[in-house]
Amino acid sequence: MTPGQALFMGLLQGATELFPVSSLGHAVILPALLHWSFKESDPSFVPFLTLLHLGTAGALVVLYWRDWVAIVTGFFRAALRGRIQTPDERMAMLLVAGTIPVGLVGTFAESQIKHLFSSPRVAAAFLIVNGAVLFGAELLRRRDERRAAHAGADRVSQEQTYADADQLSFKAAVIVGAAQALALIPGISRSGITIAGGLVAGLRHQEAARFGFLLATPVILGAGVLQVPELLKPGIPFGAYLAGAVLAGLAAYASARFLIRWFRSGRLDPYAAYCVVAGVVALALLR
Amino acid sequence: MTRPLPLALIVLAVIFLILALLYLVGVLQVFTSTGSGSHWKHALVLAVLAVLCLVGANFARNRGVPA
Repeated sequence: MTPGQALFMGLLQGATELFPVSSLGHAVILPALLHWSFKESDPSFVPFLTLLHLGTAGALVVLYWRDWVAIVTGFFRAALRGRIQTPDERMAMLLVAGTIPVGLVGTFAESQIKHLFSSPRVAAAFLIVNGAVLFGAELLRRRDERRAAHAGADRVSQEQTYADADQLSFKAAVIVGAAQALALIPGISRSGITIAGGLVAGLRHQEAARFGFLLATPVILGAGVLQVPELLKPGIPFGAYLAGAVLAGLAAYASARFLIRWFRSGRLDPYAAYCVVAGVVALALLR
Repeated sequence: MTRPLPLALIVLAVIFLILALLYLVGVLQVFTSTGSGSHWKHALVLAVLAVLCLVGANFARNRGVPA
């Protein structure tokens, strides 16, 4: 991988990790479309991906550092007490409940899943599926808004009638967390599937995105930290990879800020449309 | 009287710890990509699960998890 490709991949990963459009899908499809010769099976690709993940996770930790301090201390307080008393403690336990399913699948079946679905054509097909999931979540939300008879209200008022992330049920957190495991398939977006799950569970768009980002942080960070020994192997072009990781972090920070603002009144529709169109175009070009 | 749920979670924690140990020493090779050697990542995840089971047992003992 050339330094230019490393920087491009860093920017791509950081920008697409948090947008509901599948970073893994883009990382599989775009190099194939651009006829780049590096492969995911290359020994230096895993360390590169590790650094990109650490860059993205770092951006999320910086963005939500106050939340994380409250969540981590809340976890230990509630765990030792054996009882949940505050919203922060509840959020900590919701995140633990939501992280267990994807942690298990990621550890015990990731390589098998990625091996099965790593073809660019399959990733393009699943990008279309991802778009359909996002459209489906918005359809359900619109139906709910019509039933609740506030379809005529402005978007910000409509959103205020839905719940905050810490009001999510534990059952819903586990289901959203389990759905996150689907993001191991290239083309299915981690943030897309968690935001869609949050919407179906009755969260506001902004809170569904916040819950999705908080839920993604331990997974992305864990995936990165567990691969750190790979970075110590000889022959890794550390400088170019590190620059890619910094770009990934900056792009992830900017995209998270943008998305939080977007979801104050915006919906998933444009991202769903993008996924369907990008998937169809990629399928056509990859024939 | 002993409540069954905390006890079950403690038993589960012990099982996870044993499995973690087996992955660490390389005896267990199920769901691994290489099929040989030590698997510290699997062991670490199972050890974390064991700790979470103990936390769960503490919650179940106090009935501290809201619906």
